[in-house]
Amino acid sequence: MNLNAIGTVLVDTEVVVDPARLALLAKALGTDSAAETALRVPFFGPTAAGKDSVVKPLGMDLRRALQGGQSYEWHRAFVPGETIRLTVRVEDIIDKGSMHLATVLSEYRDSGGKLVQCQRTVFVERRETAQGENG
Amino acid sequence: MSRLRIEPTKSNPITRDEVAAYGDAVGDHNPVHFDPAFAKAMGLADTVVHGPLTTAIIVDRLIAQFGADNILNLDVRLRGPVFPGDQLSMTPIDYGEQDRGVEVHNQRGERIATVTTILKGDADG
Repeated sequence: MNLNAIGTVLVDTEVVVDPARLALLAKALGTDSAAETALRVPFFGPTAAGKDSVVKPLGMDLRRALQGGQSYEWHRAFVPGETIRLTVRVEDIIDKGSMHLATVLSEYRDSGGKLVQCQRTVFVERRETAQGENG
Repeated sequence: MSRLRIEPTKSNPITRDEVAAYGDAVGDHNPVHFDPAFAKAMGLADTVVHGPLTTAIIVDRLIAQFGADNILNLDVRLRGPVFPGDQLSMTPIDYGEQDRGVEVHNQRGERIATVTTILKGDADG
């Protein structure tokens, strides 16, 4: 993992709350409340601007990495069709010896600059094992 | 305002079609979610459900109880992998005066997540 990425803004772009995406999310949830839930969780910040927008600059090896946590702070529901400003920033990377923990902050703001939602995503990347170390 | 009470709840079993729909929706096509051979090379028993989908399922079960406007924030610590076919059981936990949430287990009794949340009215005590 690239420890120099701390503080770096990896994404600063506009995203649209696409009704087709909302429908797919509701299908993935498959419950009576799914449509309401989809309006609260339509984006996953680390992939919202493309699958490599965060993984590559973080230097994260997906063969050794998993998501360890996710938090949401909701200010309001997204509105279908609205355009949102998304910024994704590397908030912290901690070296825990056998692993790295990276916290990525995704902020979603409406056209007036008001915060709609904050997400924090924690990635856990196991350190690469030296060849032969495990026999 | 009185504190809202969290009731035990369960998800439906998670299907591979639902995982595929989620991957398409958020643009996350990491092979660990779709390719069993890739997942096994990572030491996993099967492909894993996206962490944000697991989180969204937890959010959905709380929204079904309280409505979206009554949930102010949520923090999910993912403790173990969730596989297609898993059904998530959520048990309410009171961590203290203002911190509470749910523990999430699969049908094998394995803890897969711990969740803290703040609902409307919590801040008022």
